[in-house]
Amino acid sequence: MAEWTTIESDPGVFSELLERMGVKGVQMEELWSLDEDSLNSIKPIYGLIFLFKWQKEADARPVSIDYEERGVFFASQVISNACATQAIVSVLMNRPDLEIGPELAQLRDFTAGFPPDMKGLAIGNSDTIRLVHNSFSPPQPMVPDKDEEDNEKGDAFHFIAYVPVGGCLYELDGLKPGPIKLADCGEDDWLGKAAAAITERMGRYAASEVKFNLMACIEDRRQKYGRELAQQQHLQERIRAKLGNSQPPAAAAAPGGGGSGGGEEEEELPADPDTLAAQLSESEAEADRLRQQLEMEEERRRRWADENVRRRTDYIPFAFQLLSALAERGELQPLVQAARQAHTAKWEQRQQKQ
Amino acid sequence: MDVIVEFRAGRMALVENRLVADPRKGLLRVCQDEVGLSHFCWYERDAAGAAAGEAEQDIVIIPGECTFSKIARPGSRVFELRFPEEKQRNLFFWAQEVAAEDDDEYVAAINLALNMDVDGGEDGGEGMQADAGAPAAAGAPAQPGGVAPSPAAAITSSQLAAALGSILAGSAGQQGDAGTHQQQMQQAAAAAASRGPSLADVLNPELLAPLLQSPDMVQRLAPYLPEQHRTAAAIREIVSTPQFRHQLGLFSNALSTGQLDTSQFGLPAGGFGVLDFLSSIQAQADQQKQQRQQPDGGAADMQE
Repeated sequence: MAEWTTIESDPGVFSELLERMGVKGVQMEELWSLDEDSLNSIKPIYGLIFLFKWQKEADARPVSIDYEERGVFFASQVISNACATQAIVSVLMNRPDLEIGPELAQLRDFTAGFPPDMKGLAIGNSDTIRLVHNSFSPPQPMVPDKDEEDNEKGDAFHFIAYVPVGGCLYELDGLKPGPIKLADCGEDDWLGKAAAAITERMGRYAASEVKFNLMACIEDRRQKYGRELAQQQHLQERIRAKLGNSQPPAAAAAPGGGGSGGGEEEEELPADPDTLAAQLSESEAEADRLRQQLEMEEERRRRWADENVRRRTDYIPFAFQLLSALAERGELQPLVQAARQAHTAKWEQRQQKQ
Repeated sequence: MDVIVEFRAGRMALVENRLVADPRKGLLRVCQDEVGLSHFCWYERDAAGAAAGEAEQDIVIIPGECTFSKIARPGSRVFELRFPEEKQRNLFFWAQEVAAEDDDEYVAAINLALNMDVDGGEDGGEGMQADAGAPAAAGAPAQPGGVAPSPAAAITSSQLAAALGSILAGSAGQQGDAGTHQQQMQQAAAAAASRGPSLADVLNPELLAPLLQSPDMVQRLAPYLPEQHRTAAAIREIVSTPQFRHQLGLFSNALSTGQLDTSQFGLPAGGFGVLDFLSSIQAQADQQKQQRQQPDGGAADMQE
């Protein structure tokens, strides 16, 4: 099988990965807490991904038997370097409400009915996914990257996805023979149950100081803020129309995925002008807040894009040029001396502690 | 002081660029003192073959500042204690051990002894695996083709002596397996080199910042960077980013373990580690400067 490089476990990397794979309107977000407020602030959430340094632990829980009939996509983890990408793909394949793009849709259809290991192989053999995954490291670095950095960057990290499918909450672990059903659930209460399962896991690992991370697969926030902003603007138009006794604007079609369904009946506006005016300023304030959020999100995306450019850059030729230029100007030696002095001083300090 | 490694060898002196041997019988020792510092010592040997009197040379060695190697010349058994940054401190010795096949083992053992972090590690004692076939560099498990560059685990001098002893004892029965010798040499030299400052240490962002201001510098570096990062400000930022420092770290490791072919940079092969690499760069730069100052115009500026 062709090579998969290690990539950083970073929401900026994963979000662009999604985009490049053809997925629309979805991004990844790092989660620092599982409390209700934190989760609410990033809804709609499509799946949760828990990352941790894998270690062998006994797990007597049975694997779900009828998951295939229930429409769960489960693939075995075949490539260790791709576990993050695979976990994300697992979430996407299990959310028919998402626009996952032609590549992934094709993969899903092609592997329908395949056993987990063949699904895993299909993912591993997907040139598209692999090339996108690999595009987050420098191309053909001059320097071998194999052994030592793997443990830091993600090779030894394991990913487990939590996703609701057909009324059940599943834990998808590519190293197990199948998905594990955690609970029956609905779209509005699966998060709480997943949070409980994850919290329990974290409790187990806290004792042994295992490092872990949590990510959520959510709606693209620019899309979400844009949609909510449009809703506010439409509401404002309606209110102004009513206040001015003019023709109300046409009902807005609900743009974008996720969120509320389109074509709902619009709420009746109050008759009293003072109440209307109050509602108007409320809406304007909310619109301002949304614009601010949108701007912050755009800023963050710019920063992520910049970081991804850096990840792709092979800096060795640059480093060599820099060193040569410094050498030519006689500026290299002083730097070397300073480094050696610092190194010696550190060493002597350690000796003195003996 | 505890003796870690012993090697029978005589001194040599550089006289007008030629090595001249001191005919006296001698003994090279790497020792460790009470505070854990490594000493490189040379004693004259008496008629019975034991060290006679005080050490004629007793140098305290800081890990990473030197390497011990056999000079690559067929038929010669001359060894060099090399200080890449202070050539005037280089020392030369000629082998007085009978069996030449063991030379490589001794070189490996001496390098490890000089550059190991003995009893000084911040990472707590993990104990070294005394494995005759593959000397565990600095407490980390030996990896094929390279050495774990992370800081050494603490070991005691007796553990070190025991491990090195087993390397040396192991060689007595060996058929001269070129692969293992080379691996041991590489690992020992790598252990030496990886203890010194890294490229990231040398390219310290604070110290670099003022050096990256000039338009000349920016212009020279720009072609090697993506379009959006070709300004002075962007370049200053780059040298402190995690992506750059990460790649520098990989590069330093590759240099330390001899995995890098320096000829791809137009530099002579050989040498181990960051300091040697930087010396080569400086030498090349000096050479190019000299050429440019030739009356006939000299070579072009850039050598790709």
